[in-house]
Amino acid sequence: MEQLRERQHLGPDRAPSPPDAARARFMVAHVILALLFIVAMTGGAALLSRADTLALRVAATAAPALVLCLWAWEFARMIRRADEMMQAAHMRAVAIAAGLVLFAASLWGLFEQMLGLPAYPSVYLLPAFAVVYSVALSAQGVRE
Amino acid sequence: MKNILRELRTERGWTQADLALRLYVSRQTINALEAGRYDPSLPLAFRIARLFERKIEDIFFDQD
Repeated sequence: MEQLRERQHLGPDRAPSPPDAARARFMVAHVILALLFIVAMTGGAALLSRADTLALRVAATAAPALVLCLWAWEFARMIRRADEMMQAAHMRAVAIAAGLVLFAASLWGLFEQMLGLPAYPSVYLLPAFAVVYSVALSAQGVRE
Repeated sequence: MKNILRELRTERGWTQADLALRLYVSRQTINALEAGRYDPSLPLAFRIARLFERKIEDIFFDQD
């Protein structure tokens, strides 16, 4: 009876814990911002092909850049609102991903200078970071 | 660190989500705590002890 009263106190449609809610919010924001980024890049490329003024070219570039900034803000917000275990896991994954991507980019730069390899397109640094971050987070055994 | 968190939770008929809500942590943290894959910080350990009205050392056991 006591247990039933406890469960009723929480309510039939009880909200998730704040860290779970923050993570759910980020997952939704992540998908929306990813789609927005695609739209901004596509629209920006189309605009650039017709842009004859600097202002238009800046506007075409600013749209995807703004979406990236929004994504970074949401990512930081999600980590801030996570609980102690998830904050530590996220920060470890960020540190591993940043270190590995920086190391790989530096190695590439060395080969570029010494062997004449083509320059690494830095626009792919963030996607590379995202991939390594995801792997590093999963490798820590963070389970559903 | 071994613990009896799962037993205490199931005694009360709570799901992991219920316990997560009461402790203001994620369900993943509850999962990791019960599996012994994560040791709580002192503030979290005290919150757990207060919730179940037990001493910390009656819930968590040092394996050494």
